[in-house]
Amino acid sequence: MLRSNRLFTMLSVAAIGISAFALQLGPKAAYAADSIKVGILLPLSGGVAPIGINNRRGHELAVEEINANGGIAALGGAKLEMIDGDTQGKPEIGITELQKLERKGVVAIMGAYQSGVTFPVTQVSEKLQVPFIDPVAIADSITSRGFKYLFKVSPQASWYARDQIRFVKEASEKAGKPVKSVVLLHEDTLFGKSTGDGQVKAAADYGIEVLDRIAYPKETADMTATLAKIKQMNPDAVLLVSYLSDAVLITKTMKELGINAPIVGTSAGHIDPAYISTLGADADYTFTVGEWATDVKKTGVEEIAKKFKAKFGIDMNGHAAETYMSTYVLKDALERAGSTNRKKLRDALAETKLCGDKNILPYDCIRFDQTGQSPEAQLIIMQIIDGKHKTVWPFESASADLNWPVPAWNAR
Amino acid sequence: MFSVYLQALISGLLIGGVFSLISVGLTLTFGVMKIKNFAHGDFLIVGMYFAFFCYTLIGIDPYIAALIGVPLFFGVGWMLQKFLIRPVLEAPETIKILITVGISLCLQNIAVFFFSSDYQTVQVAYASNTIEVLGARISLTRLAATLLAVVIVVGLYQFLMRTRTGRAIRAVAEDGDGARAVGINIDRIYMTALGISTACVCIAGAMMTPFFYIAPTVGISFTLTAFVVVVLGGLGNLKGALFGGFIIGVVESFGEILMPEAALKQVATFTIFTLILLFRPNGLFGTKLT
Repeated sequence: MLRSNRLFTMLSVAAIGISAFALQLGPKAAYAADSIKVGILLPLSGGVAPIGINNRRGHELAVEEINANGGIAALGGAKLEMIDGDTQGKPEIGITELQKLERKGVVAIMGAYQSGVTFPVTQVSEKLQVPFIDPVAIADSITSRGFKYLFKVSPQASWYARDQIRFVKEASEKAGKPVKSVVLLHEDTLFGKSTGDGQVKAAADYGIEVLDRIAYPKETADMTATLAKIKQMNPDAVLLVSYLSDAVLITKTMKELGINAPIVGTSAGHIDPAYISTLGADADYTFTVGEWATDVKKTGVEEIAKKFKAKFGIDMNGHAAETYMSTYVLKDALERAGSTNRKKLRDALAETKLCGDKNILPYDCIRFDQTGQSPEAQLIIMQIIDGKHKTVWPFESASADLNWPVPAWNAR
Repeated sequence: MFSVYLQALISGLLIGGVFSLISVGLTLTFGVMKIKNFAHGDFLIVGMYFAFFCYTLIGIDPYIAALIGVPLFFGVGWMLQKFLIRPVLEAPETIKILITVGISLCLQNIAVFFFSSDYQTVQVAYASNTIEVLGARISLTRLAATLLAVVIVVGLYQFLMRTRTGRAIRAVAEDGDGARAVGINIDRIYMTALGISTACVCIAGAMMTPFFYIAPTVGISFTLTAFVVVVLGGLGNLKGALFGGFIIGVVESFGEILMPEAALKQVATFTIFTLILLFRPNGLFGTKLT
């Protein structure tokens, strides 16, 4: 009796085990045949979650479009399926999540928004030989390691300063008054200082003299003396790296002192909508670097921006445009590889050439150089015109005419 | 280069007046109640948002708002003393500090909750008007704030010297027990003192709105500056706060252009600060209220 009881127990345990295994295997095996898993590694909880969630929207819109248009034709119309990994904004969790995604059998991974997370996780994806597409993280160091499975769509961090200087040169030459000298004015934390270093280098490359480079503490009650000194130097443009409160204070003080040199900001404070609402008409004519905008003049931008707004209820921004395009980079590579083999996919990604109408980012082709960087990637410059940020550079993507030089404060 | 130095001097004096007005309130609370009020600078936002809403909702000019807001500002200080500071007056020093730090955090977060952390400004037409003197520009709104600050401090001084309440406040500052012995209602004097103190900083806030921005956290850096001014001029000394404000304003302003980096301007400020304390440990004007 005892013996048969034990046998019965063993048999039933085995039966449960087998059926559980079958249950788990059954639907999944059937599913895998017609979907291609794509890993999305982003901070979906924690302090930077709002940005991570917005990044994800670009992927989601692109995947939805691709699936609605018949999936990946070269793979029998297989649909893309997004598998999320939540980094929580932390490198160590990012690594664990990446390993999980790899075990779930994703063909490639896209992410991870923050440079501080993207840098360490790509170390692991390289080792595991999983193709990794970096749509947003900008740090130059990411592509400095000679990785074979890493593809970076975003511009380099140092290109913010480069494009700011390029713009100043091209805009002033177009206006017939080439800029000879600039003053750099930046807040004194890492953000301001590292961008300032880039500006100094870029100015030297493009033959523009830097009259002075001034770092200031951003929580400051008054900057009149500093700006009086800048007025004395009489630069052709003032290049800033500022957060919001200091950007506002500087613009107000420049008006008071009658400093008429164009203000060229570096994203951050100058791209914040609150800069316009706080300063009102005084915000007009300010320039700022940006990643992308819904008014960039390229085929498809308007339609995609409209679709995005309809689906998510908010305006598409530069991050979403980059994640959107990165998803198409993957789709294009899957079509050319005709396989979900990671090695073949990597080789196809390395041959990427998404040009012209296929690319909504403000330059011609997305392709990758030896380091995995997209070499044509670049920033845009926006000018505030009638209280709105308008894309004015690169000239071929501009939606509005550039105002350079800017009108004097007492002539506005 | 002359005009740059002149500009630095002028703008230092102009912001210095604002520092003075804020510091006067702080020094008064310290002189009378021996309380170090770490929430002091945060009351700037009470005045700022009051002026902001007066302007955007009913179109009242910020300077008029600063005036009509006085009873409200005074009342805020009065209530603060009555309900929050008085219960801890006899408590150990750390408790007193903690309650003012708590009030500071509360004020900032209440402002974030009701008005969001977005920046606001009062966009009056005359905000950027200036007059030119020898190549330097004087901002009229800053000039107005500084002149008003001086007027208020002088008025407060006269009030303390000549009125009965003023004398009572001085008596309490000098010797609380003695004042109580001759029949002065100390509770009432404390509430009056914090009322005046809060009104000063709120008026400063309202008058800053034409040339500054409004945000829940603007007070933090001003609290620090006010403490430097007050210690420099003499803890609890009115004249010290007035002149200390101008000294710090001018030193910061010159620090901006003379230090190797503008970001180092506070090094200049604190060097002067240390030197003065080294030779006059009680501050420039000593620690008596008047």
